[in-house]
Amino acid sequence: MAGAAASSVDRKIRVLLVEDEAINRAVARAVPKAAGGVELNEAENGEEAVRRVRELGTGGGAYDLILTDRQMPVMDGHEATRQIRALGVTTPIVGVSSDCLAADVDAFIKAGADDLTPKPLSKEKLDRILAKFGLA
Amino acid sequence: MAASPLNQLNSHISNMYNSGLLDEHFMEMWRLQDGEESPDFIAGLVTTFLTDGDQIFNELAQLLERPFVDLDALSNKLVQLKGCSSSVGARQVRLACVQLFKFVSQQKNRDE
Repeated sequence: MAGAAASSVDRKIRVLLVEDEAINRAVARAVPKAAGGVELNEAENGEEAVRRVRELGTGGGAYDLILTDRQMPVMDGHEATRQIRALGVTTPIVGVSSDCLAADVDAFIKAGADDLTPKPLSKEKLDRILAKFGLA
Repeated sequence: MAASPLNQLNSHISNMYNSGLLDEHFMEMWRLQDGEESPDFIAGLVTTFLTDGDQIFNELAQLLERPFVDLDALSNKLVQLKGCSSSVGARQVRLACVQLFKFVSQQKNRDE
């Protein structure tokens, strides 16, 4: 079931990071390495993220968590979230954005996300997110 | 005796942190750097930031040089630079983006 915690010691938590900026992806790659037990996949824009999620479906190969930037070329994080939800995917989606005012949080939640965390992603923030959704 | 290059680097980074140029996130990235697996992690990060930052600054300059400044495009570029600078812990750049974004937002509200 998408979003369920790893059922065995060997199964890593599958996270999809949706981020267009190379530097932000580089930083995000280092964080799961420090956290341990996380397998990070990457998409450079919302359209690629939707395609990857659609291909995996909602079965055992699905992602356990999706972290998405807001502002991206081709398709932004809000639209990607809407389209992923329209596929019937219930995987937790957390926005990772430079803008975290109340209005920004509301916009992401309205699009179907479960939470929003400010950039940059850190080990502490990732641990908190994993714990919040029962993935730790 | 002159300090070793590593000690000099550590001292320089401490100075930059203490003077507010770098924030705690850079220090966290510094600690995450694994000497065996990814010895060039910080160097790669900083190089990417400088390259991407340079491009964004050029794009900002081009936007500002136009007879009619596209404030939405300007805002988007500032958000982009803010995100990059926060990811690498470049505190002063991030704060400058916040201030500029506030100014641009005020201009947008005035124009509406």
